[in-house]
Amino acid sequence: MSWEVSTMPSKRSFFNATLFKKHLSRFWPLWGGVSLVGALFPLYLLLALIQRTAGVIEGDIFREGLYQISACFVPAFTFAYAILCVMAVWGYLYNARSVGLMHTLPVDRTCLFLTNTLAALAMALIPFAVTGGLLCLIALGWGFFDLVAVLNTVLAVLFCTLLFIGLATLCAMLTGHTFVLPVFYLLFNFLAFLMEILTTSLAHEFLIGVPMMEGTGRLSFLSPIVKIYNSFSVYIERPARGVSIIRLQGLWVVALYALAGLALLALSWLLYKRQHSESAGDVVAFRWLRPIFRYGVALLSALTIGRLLYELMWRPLFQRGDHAQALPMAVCLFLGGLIGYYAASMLLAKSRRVFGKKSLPGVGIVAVGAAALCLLVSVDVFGLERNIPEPDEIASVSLVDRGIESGPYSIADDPDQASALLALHRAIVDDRAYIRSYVPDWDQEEGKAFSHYLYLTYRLKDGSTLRREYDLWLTRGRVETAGTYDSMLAAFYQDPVVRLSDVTIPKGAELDSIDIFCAYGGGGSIYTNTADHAEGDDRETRQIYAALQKDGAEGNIPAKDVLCRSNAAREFYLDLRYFTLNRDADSFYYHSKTVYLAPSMTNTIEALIELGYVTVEYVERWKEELAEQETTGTEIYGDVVYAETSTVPAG
Amino acid sequence: MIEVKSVVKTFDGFAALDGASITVPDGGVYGLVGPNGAGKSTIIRHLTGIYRPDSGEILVEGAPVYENPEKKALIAAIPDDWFYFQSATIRDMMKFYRGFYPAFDMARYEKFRDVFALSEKTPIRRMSKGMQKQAAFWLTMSCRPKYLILDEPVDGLDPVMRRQVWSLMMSDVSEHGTTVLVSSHNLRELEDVCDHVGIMNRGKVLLERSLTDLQENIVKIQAVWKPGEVPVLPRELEVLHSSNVGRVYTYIVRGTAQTVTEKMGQFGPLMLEALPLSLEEIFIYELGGEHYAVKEILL
Repeated sequence: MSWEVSTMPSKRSFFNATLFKKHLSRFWPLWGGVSLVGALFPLYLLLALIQRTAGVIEGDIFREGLYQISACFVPAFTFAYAILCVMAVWGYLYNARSVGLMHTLPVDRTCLFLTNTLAALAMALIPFAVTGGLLCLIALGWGFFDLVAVLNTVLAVLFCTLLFIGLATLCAMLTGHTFVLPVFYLLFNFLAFLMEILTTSLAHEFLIGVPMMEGTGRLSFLSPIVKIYNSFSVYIERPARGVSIIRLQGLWVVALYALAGLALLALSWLLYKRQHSESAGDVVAFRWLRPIFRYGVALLSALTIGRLLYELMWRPLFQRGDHAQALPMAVCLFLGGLIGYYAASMLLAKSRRVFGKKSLPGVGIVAVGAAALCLLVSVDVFGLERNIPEPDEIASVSLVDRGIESGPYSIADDPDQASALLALHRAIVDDRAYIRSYVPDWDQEEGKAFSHYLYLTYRLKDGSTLRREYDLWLTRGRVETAGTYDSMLAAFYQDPVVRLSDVTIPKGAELDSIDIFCAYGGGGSIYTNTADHAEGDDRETRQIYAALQKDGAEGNIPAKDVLCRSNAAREFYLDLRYFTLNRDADSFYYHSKTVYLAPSMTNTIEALIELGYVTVEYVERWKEELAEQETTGTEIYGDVVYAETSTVPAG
Repeated sequence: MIEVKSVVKTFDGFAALDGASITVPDGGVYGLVGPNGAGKSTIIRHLTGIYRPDSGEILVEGAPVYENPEKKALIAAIPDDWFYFQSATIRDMMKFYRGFYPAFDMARYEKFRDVFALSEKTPIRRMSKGMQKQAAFWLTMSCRPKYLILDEPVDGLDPVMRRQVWSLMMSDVSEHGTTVLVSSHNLRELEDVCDHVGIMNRGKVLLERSLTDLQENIVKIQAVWKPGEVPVLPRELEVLHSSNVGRVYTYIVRGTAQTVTEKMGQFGPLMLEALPLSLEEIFIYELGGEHYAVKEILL
């Protein structure tokens, strides 16, 4: 037999059926098991339909169910399952023996890549095909099949699968170690989000106003699973009985991510063609990636372990004031970074002998990096502290003052108030040196300095959000000095519109009931809910709220006292309970707003007396005591009570 | 023909191959020998397309083998650490190989069933090391490769099976013109089958010749000199090693037996005899100059 006969030159192949089948046959317990679990749901539905316990299922319910699965379950499931499929098909890269066999085979890497990727996609999609196929059969059999919903769901599944298979494949190319692959995958999904949180948190230690654990959201697109859950949802509207508008919102976002997934697959293919087989067992598969890995781990370690060191070893023992000290922080970041640097070096070298002289330049880089990071953040190079949006950038702004139980004030469409808040914000920023240095002296200032915790939230026209939080002390002297933030906040509360909004529930909210508290006079506390009192009739709720609004319109609502001098008022107040629907209109959130009564609010007090919640005698004694307190000048300290509370009803 | 031209391969700064070059002529058995860490397995991984060289060329029939399915289809290899899927049987692996190698010969596979006497349905991982080696031969030789590359091929096989395997390979060489490149430490066995030998050390190929040339160009001389008249041999006689037991002096000298005998005869020995060297002896004495001599250590 001659060789010319038996080894005919073969055409170039992009797919190898043997390898594809081998993958599927080797890992059938994975996709088979998941398919089996998935098939239980249609089976349950089938049994429920046969037993007539599922009720009547119509097209709308089927569509809503499919969409809820698409938006809530599919992204999370594909995120978790894709990495298993990719680990299965690319597992040979992480073992010198197996990579030897696969790369000896007479196929090129393009063929291996395409075959492996198709096998991973097949393994990822088979469970959906099984579950979805059974569901569709049942839907067809019982007459509630909805083709549009099915097609949309198929698209959502395909898009999510492409994205996460692409991302996981890229991670598989970058490492040569099985255990590192899922770590890379998690990092790639959450790194941008995590880094933004960590750097903002560091900035919070040095700068006033920067929230502790909140990013701008501008980099959230780099964390696909986070962005998908923020953008992809089910929209349900029920304009009339029996009429439902149900659609998937944000499917285009997932489609864009699917395109990104394809781009990642292309990048993975290029990387695979360049990958050396001898990288099997290495933490990172490419030489150029090593410094990125080494210093990336050092940075992460500095921002986590370094911060922990500061919180444990410096803040409770040596720090003065609320703001961090740059030098100790830099030292702690350096120590944290050093731990990460050597840990990464050990992983890269697969040895614990990494502490030699050769590592000293790297240690120097970590030290310089820690110092530079601390310096950049502490002197606010990026202007986070001074960042005040321009008026034409703002879509809406709201203020919550936890100090004197005020807000939220949403002033989307009131330019005067927006200007007032911007002026207040500027005054706070201008006074930042004072704020940073001010520490109340309780011996000298007892009863003269009052704490306010302000939350300013700007919704900007570009869709982003800017949040600032200020822990401020207000003093009488500065309240009386024009141009200080103290005086501007006091002036803000004097605005009639703000005073009216103190007794008004937000636009779009539904008033549920009103709690009435009257603990004045020593005759025992009164607590009544209008819904309980009127046994479900909301007439009384409406009457009290109308009286409040009337008081607001007549200018009877007193301005908030930023120095919190009227403690007696606390003993007579109302809690307005209201709810808002979430954006899908399928669940609602309860909130409450506290309104402290003042003698000037005559309409409200009369309504309460008329409805029998309080007696004339109670009100008279309350007024007398208030007058007496005003005369004697009794004051209390501004304690922190949450004015705005939100609850989510069960179910 | 397989050609390796000035191949360099470094791993984290260590040069596993440092300008290695070999030429494996078609239709013969080429023995690649060298001490541990010489670079034999690395060169084999290059030949099978696993490794990409940092520089240099690996050519099979004049074309680079890396990422060249057409050329790789001509090659089958049994590495020292042959891989099989975790739960695979010989039959499973046969289906796998058959899907990749266009020349896979099913009839041959069936014939080998009697030769190797292994169960096709037993998972390979349950087999002994020697049985796994047999399975590797069974499958690899069923691929009907034009180039058969073997790294420590008979390691773990019993003597009968060793002979059987060598016999099968030699019949492929003689009947089908198969080219075999074999790396082994068992020089006595290589000596019986190789027609060409390359000796490697520290990533380089020290010498590469036909075994006949090699054995003809180095000779062992045993001489007896008159008492007190042991001559100082001239430098033109390239003596690689000398030792004596009593009055019998043994010299390993580079050169043909005839030339060396003539030159040494001029010193008037009482007795002079030229003996052929085994491959193992050639290996030891050639590498002695490369700081790889057997150290006479007393423990």
